[in-house]
Amino acid sequence: MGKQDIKSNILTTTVESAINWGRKNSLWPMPFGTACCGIEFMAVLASRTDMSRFGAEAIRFSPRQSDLLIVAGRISIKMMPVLIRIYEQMPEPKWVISMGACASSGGVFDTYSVIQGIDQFIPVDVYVPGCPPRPEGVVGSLLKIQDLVDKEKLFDYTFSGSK
Amino acid sequence: MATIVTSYEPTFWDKLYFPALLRGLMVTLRHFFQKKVTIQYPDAKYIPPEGYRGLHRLNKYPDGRIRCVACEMCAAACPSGCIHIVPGAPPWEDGKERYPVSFDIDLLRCIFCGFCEMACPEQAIELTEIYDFSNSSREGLWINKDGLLEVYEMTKDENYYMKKSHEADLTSG
Repeated sequence: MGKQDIKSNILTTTVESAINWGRKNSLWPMPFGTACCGIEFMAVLASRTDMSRFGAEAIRFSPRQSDLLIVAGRISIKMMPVLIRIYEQMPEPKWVISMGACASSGGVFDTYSVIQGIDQFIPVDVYVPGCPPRPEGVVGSLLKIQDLVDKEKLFDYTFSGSK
Repeated sequence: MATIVTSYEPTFWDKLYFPALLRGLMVTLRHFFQKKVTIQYPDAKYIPPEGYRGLHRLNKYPDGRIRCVACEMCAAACPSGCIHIVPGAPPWEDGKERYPVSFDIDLLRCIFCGFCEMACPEQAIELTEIYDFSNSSREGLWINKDGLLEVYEMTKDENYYMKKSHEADLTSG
């Protein structure tokens, strides 16, 4: 029985959807807050727009325990190696939200020292515009991430960790 | 003179711990019956106040002409340089010399400061109350003239979040 046969097997597809369901309702975010968006991210976790309604309230400050990286704030060129290292320390599968104008495109800081969009270095799944975005915007991006997790395939991962 | 601080000496009532525990539980119980502060976001939306600065729109005259005259005052006032205008001759006879052939806004670079609507001499560009428009691609957050006019159609009559049918015409995919 080849790999394709396993993919089309009804038992493994059910396991896949069960795993995806579990993953998408228990995303553990790792906040990388370097600026004011990090302050706004606290409001996302507060009771008004409660992120624990979607199972993502377990904020881990260790990248090895988390599967959702939330980059909030401007990333300088000296901070980028740290961010790349944190991204690489996260176990697969992992997702990235780029929160706010500075992380997504540099915003007003069009200077030599600020990264003009973190997607030049690490893959970004969902961009949230705003300076900073409303908490609802971040929750909306979390829902988009949940849709992405739902489409995840169980056998798309190799041991090298590439998709 | 040094201040003498007397430390608190717990009374017998304090040492029981049980009354304090009950008092704490009473606080929890009181909040149980109070009004809930959580907004159930995807189902119920927060309605921003008048003057909220969200997604942009380009205003039109009642006869359908675009108010914008492509003077590029907004692009000059923009601190992040996210407005890109290509001016040209207007397709209609209205006595104006310029018209935006293309009007693009990089929403990922925009900081929603509202300087563009303050700088606009024609009240053409305006910030609306739409706040949730995240997207999974960079191209999806580059809004052009058609998109801005579409936002105008969505928000011209009433508050976008007051409308019942706003889930259907969300532009962000």
